Amino acid sequence: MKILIAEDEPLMAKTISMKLEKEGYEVISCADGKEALQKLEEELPDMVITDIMLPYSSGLEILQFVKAKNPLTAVIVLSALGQENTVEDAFELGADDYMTKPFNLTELAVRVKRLLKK
Amino acid sequence: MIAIVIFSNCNAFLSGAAFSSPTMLNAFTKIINPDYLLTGIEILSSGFLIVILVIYATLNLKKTRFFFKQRIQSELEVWVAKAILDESEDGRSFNIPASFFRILKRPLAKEFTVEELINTKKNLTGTAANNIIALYEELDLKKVSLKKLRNSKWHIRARGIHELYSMQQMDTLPLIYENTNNQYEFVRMEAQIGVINMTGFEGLRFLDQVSYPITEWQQIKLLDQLRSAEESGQLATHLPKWLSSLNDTVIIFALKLAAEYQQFSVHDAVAKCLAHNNVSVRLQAIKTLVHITNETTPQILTEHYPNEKFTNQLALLDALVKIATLDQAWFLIGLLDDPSDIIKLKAGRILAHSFPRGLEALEERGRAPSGPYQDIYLHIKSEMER
Repeated sequence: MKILIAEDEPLMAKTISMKLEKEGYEVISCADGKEALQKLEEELPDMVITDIMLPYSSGLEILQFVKAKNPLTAVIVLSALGQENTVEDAFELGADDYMTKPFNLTELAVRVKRLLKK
Repeated sequence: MIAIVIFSNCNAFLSGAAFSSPTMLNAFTKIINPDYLLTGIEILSSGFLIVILVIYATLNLKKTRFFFKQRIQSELEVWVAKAILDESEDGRSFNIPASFFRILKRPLAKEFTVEELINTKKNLTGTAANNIIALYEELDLKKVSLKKLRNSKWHIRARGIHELYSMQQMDTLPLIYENTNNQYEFVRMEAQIGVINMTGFEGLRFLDQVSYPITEWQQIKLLDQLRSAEESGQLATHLPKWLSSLNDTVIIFALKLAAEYQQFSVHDAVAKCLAHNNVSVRLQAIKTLVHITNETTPQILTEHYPNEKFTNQLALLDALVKIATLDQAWFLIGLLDDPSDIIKLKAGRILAHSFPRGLEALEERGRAPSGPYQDIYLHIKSEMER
């Protein structure tokens, strides 16, 4: 199973990637929205995990792009505290789940597993 | 045409007409003298070269720093991520490569590593967050933060405080506490947030001694920080002291705390704040009383109404919408004759909302040939129908 992570904080991205790789997933990591959209244009993974606030293109744009291409691709949105309105927008655009930072990595792995099982 | 003008001006200039005095003409002659001209050109060229060298050095330094950062990042990322994901109970047995310790000798590397660890820590909870703290300690980065805390520059000191509380270095609490009344606003802000972050409500003891104002924004941040802490019941003991503080912003913040955590036991102390000299304190007291109201509150508010400023009178009427009783009926009816239409409208709204026949009374008043009562009645009626 292939997962794309769009996260602009390098260490955070690496930590999530390694956690998911440990769980047996293949992970592609992107540092900004533009890079993520380019990668998604080439190939659509089974799941996308995206931060809402990203350079160049926001997490919501990525979500919109993914859902337009294939509504069945699961998307988890990572948001910061106080971005409740944006989370609401994300759900309206078809997000499958969201996690508010700070979050527990184990919980993220569980949610990824649950969504990919569907 | 333009050429003619330039030509005639040049002629005038060379003939000396452009110079107002012989001294200036003399100076000009000296400047255009070949010897001086050469020296001038040399000085100019050297200056230009120095500027170029400075720009080049700065860019080069930036480039070196960038690549150095990239190098640390690539070294750091993999094994730090591994360490963060370490799920063993003994999270302190990180296998830190010797090469990284060598890199870490450079201040820039230390700075960058601390920054990365803090940025990642704020996004994670659970074992991963604990591992980040353990790693920060094992890399001896606490020394870096402590050095910053002792720096005389306020922004560096604030950063040091931020790092120490983010990494939950409890033994540094007294040092952070000392800075809660620092002369520099940002140092104070970080220290106040820090003590609450580390000790929850206990950290509010800084209110006992803070003499500088606590800004509105800082109050929001402090309340936000408190939301993740558990109130142990100690608040009621300290609030009366803060409500009589010499620092007006401490009183305002204490009033906000009383409202947020519904501290009914301090009702009377809050009511006393309605007589405070500071209009902002009185305004916050009005707002707080709505949250900790008892049977005496509406009467206390109406008693203070005549002495209040217009804006506070409006806030007081807003408060009464939620708590007015029949005892305030005559007071409110009296306000329908107030010269201000806003007061009339607000009083009318309370009458309509709080009393069974309030709307009917307003309708009756609306039949009066003069005054805005008909409009007020229709406005409130439409509000109630919504």
